[in-house]
Amino acid sequence: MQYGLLPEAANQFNPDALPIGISKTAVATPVKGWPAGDYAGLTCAACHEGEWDYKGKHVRIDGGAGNRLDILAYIHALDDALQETLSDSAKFDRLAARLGAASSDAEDKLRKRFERDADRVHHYRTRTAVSATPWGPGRLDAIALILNRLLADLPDIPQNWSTPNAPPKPPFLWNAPHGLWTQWRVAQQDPIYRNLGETMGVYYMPIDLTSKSPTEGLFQSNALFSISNGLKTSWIVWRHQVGRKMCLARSTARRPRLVKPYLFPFAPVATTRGLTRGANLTSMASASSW
Amino acid sequence: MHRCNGIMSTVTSLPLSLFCAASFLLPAPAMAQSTTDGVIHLNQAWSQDDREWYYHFSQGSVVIS
Repeated sequence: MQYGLLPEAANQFNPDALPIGISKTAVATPVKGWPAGDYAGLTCAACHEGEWDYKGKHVRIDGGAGNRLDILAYIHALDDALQETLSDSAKFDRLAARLGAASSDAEDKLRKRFERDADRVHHYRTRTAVSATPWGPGRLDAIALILNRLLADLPDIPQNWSTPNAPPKPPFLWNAPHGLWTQWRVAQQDPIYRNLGETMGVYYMPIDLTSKSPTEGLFQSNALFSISNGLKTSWIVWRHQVGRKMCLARSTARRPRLVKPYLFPFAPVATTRGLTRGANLTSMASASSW
Repeated sequence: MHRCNGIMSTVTSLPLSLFCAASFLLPAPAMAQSTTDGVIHLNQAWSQDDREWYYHFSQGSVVIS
């Protein structure tokens, strides 16, 4: 909470009483480097929910510009905590005891899981989100973070990395539930592209873009979307338009490498809640004009 | 003179009349929705169900297991 996440009581969608903008995702089928299991991750609301204190009252603005979360400080603190827990055996033992990992076998499994998460967060801090200046609360360079994930980290082309040093405030999206197409701008004109960009780019999503072929797991992902509910047209248009442009994206290296032309034909291997509210999912997840 | 006063009266009362009429036509200011947890939600026309879903619906991103 000290980094600006807003507390929230347990409810039907949040049985674990996680803060606003943190959700639980069940990865049912392992993806390369991502074992099956329950994960906690970020949602739109982490950065697109405003709260002001006025005369002793907490005034919350649903879908408002996030004015509290210091995402960069949060990432740094999370990385520090994970690394310290790994290096300090007493801390790790306390964690294992709290999680009920009593036997040595259970503790070993916990450590491996913990090391994997810690490596991922440390990589994010030291590669993806390296900025010369702190962003502070209510500011983030989401575009650079997303592009670093999509074009440098996931396809393993570090030459494509750019410095996330232009942190604007997150925009409001309180009108998102009322629109079918809430975000439009030159860089992102397709809801699927935008949605996947957020989930893959804003933080982490289990996805395999480094195996050599689909039979070895290439493109496996827990991305949640359906091409049978009216999104098929958008998907096809996107593949022809955006996909071709991405093929031509050049790195900053002396010998430019081409981004893989077949970057995003996902094969969803797990879903979290289905698309019973697909319209809302599309509009809401499309809404934040990063 | 009386005619002039009548015109002036009409001129001065017209904006007031329009303002009063407009106050019925314009939407009311956003009303706050109080909740039991001490937080006041501005009325964004979101139901509690909408709100909770938005806060915690998973979009697939994962940070820690």
